[in-house]
Amino acid sequence: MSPGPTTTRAKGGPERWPAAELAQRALRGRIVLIDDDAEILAAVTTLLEFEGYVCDSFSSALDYLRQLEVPRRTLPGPSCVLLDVMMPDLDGLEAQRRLAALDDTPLLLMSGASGVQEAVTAFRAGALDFLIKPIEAETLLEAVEKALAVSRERQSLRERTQAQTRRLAALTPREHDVAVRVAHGKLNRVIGKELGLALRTVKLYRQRCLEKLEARSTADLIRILQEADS
Amino acid sequence: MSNLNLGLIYLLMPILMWVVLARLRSPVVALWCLGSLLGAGALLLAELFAFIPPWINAPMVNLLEFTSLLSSIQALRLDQGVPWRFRWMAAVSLGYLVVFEICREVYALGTYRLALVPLVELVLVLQVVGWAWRIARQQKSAGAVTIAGSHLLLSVGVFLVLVQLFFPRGGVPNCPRDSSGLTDTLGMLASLAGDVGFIGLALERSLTQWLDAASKQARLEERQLLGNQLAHLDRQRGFGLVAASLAHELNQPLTAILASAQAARRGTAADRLDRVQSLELLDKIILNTRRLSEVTGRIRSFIRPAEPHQGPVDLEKVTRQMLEMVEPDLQHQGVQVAFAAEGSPVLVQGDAIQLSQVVLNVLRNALEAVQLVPDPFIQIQLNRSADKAVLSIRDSGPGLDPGQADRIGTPYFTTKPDGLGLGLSIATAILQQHQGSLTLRNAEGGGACVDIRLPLRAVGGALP
Repeated sequence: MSPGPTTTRAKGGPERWPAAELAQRALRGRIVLIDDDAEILAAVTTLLEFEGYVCDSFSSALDYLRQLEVPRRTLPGPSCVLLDVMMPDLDGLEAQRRLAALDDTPLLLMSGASGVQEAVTAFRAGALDFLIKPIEAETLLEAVEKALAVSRERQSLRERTQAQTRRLAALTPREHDVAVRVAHGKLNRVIGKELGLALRTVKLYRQRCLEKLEARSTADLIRILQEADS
Repeated sequence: MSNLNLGLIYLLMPILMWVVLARLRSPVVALWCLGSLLGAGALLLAELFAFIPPWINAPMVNLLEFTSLLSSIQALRLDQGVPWRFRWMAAVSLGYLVVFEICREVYALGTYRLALVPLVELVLVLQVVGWAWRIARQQKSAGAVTIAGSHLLLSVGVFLVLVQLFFPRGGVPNCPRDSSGLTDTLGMLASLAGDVGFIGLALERSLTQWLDAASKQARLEERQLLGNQLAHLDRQRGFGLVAASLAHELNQPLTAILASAQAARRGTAADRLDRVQSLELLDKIILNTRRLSEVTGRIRSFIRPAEPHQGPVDLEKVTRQMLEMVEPDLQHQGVQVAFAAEGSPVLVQGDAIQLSQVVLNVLRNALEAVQLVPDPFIQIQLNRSADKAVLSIRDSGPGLDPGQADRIGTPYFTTKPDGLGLGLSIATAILQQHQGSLTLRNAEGGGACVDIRLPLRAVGGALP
């Protein structure tokens, strides 16, 4: 169907908020809305903005992909993509594949005329939900909230992993050797023998490892190293 | 009974028969009546021998009698589809007259001269019997049996005359004309029964023809009705095929309406909505509802009762409407459409819905043909050529195999795994009903091209 008037688009979007409110909204969540129908973009944007989210709308998945190529500062906070399946230039399922290759932003798909096949394909490719148009506001908001929660979780996991990687990098090679052997459950005496170190030195390195990795106990240390391994 | 009265009865019979059967307008009936009439003429003329010189009377009577029987035979032969040539009949009649005259002039021949007339008559009557019997056997017609029987009786009478001639009771051969009452009575009986039988035959024949025509008409109407129903079913199936796209088309505005309405509701409930925002949301709802009704209007105009409705149809408008109908599929497949028309209405006479169906079926075919080709396009041209409107729909698909080209358009032939093979045959049938045609060919630059031809509506026809 031909998209309706596009003038409605300019009114929505994050640009119109003052910086402080924008930051606050971004913390609540940012939703990327992609649908070839301008009327739907406008209506859903209004609905989401009333709920205090930031909504970025695109009339084509290609537009969004092109925009992703340009590196730019993104606001902190969770985000998700709400993607229509039936679109002319790049359909939702193909867009989903390309987006999944780029990052782990949770994806919601929506469609009015798709069958089970499309839904199954979407779920297999990792979609969080498949919404049937016309979408009830409650259903939409629930799905969005769930997607944002997943996004938050993924972000915090990512942050934690990043911090640990940073901390692991701070260990000297000798400390790293000791930490790995501790994680394998070896006794200080055995470690000393293997590395040709005095028992006192092993104890010292072990203490430094705990400090540098911010581990509260040996068990904590083991967990951190295991996480880094995987 | 005098021969004069007999002649009058003879004269009356064919006239009455013609009165009864003239409605049939059959040359067979005309010939038979002519035969009877000529026979009556012969009889009357023979009665008038006192007033007409014998040198003209005798040959006339003979000629009339001869042609009378010839006519009757010709009537039956015509009925069987194997008539003699009239030229040949005229020659034979003339020949007979000449032979008769020669015999009459040459007295020496005696008995043989007198025997000539009944002998020829016997041969001809037996011919009538033979043909009538053939018809009777073939069509189990009681009328033909009557004709055969009566003429067989007549032939017996004539045979008796011959016997009398060769073996006269008084020793002197009589002229056959005034020989015996038996022959005359037999002749009259044969003629009357023959005529009655012929009326029966003709009536049976016309009844059979009428029944045949009626059942043919019934079959035709039935087929047409079936065709209409089939076309209607195909239209519904066609509608089923575009239903997925239509569901999308309906859902888009519905989604916008629902989202706007619920945004307004939530906003109002939380007291976060100002006047401008409310109006904007309401406008959105109104706009999208209108969008929705456009779509339903299109569906409604497509599903309608199957009865054809005749009227002026603008082929350009029909084509544009059907393009809108497949627009979602065109967009979805990324098909480029070029529609070249003259810009003025191209009017043909017919049923708008049925013609829409033709265009839709052809468009759908084209869409399916370009499904797997890169940079798909469909070119549509609408032209006037002499008294025809020509709508050409060309696709950039793989085109047709030479072997397939002939069979496409015949029912149940399909090249598609899930096709019914009815699309183009229904289109063809509808076009035939509209005195139009559909041809399928490979286009010059590759791909298939369908040409739809329809007679243009006469200019100024029923325009107000």
